[in-house]
Amino acid sequence: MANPTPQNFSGAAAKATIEASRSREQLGRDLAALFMSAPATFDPVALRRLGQAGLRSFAAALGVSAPTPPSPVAEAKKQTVSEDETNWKHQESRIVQFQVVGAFYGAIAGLTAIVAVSLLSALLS
Amino acid sequence: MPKIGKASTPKLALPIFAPIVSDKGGIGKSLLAKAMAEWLRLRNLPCGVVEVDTTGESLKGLTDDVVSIAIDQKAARRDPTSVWRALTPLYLTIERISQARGMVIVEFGANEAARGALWAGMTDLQEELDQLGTSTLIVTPYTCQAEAMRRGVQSASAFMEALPRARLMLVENERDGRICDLHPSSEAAAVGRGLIGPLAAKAATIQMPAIEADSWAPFEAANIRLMDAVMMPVREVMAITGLPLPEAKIVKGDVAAWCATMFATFDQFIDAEGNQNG
Repeated sequence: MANPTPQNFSGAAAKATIEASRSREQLGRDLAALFMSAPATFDPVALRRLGQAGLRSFAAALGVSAPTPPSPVAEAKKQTVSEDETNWKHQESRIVQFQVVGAFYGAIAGLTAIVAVSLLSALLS
Repeated sequence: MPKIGKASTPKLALPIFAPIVSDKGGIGKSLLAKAMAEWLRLRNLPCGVVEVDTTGESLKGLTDDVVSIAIDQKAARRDPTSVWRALTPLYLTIERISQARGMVIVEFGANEAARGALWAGMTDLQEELDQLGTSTLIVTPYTCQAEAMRRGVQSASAFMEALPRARLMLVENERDGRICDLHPSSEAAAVGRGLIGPLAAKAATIQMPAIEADSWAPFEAANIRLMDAVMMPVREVMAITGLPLPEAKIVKGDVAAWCATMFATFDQFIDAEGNQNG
């Protein structure tokens, strides 16, 4: 194939890009019609070429609201993350030392035993 | 539109030696080489393509001037100097294309970049390039995977050491997503901040968009060149790819949009018609 000039190429590329965008939207609508007419036999592999624009058109034809790409402002906000979001520390539960927990539960058990023995002895006397 | 890391840096003038380096495979080195060669073809500039790879000849047929170098690993283990001899055609191509005031694109395949950097250092390539008046543009593509970034930085650093007057262009291949979209606590994001970040401060960074819906694959399978895919009538695209009309238009348009973006990026970096080096 002969070498095109930069001007020829730019024109051809722009035309091909517009045609591709139109074809995507049309293909999305055609596939949606196909899906609605025979959902059991619909091959989802056909959606492969649709890309974002085509999938939006497919979803719109089916009456489904397709998610729109995030706005640059929202995207920029998402990138500004706090220190807490970058690690798991805030989700960590605090573990108390087992000696402290042991002494606490031991003391409660001891007191309960004393109270129980006192009550029994009072009842039996 | 791609973002350029250093907008104030003047454009690089021809002749240029452009090694595409990364020891990681499957990150878009060949596609990038093809795009650069096609950009030169569009501007009718001399182009030499050298492929240093043991695993295949992915660039064969790209231009009439493709040199494929496959280093024999066994021979290299027996006699390390055989590697330097094997790379001699690369030097001859640089010399020839530099004299024609064009661009030499060298794709170092996976695991060949370290050897290439060593060769450049051993042969004192920087001095030779200076004598030829040839600028060097080290091109390192990477995806958003941690390993791709690590190995890309390794290869780029090795070449920067061997060719101290070279300029570096980092190419973020957006095929698997963008680094800025990674979770900040992921390993890949940490590698991006720790390794790519400091290197990017010394380099120009461009984005290589993904070709939507894998639209390049049918052309690649048919060994079609990027620009030919764009200029081809839709009927011919249908005949070659076997796709129906709407899909043929889609794949052609996707390749066209990608080429237009990449060519516009190269236009911002390389002076195709202006001043020459030296």
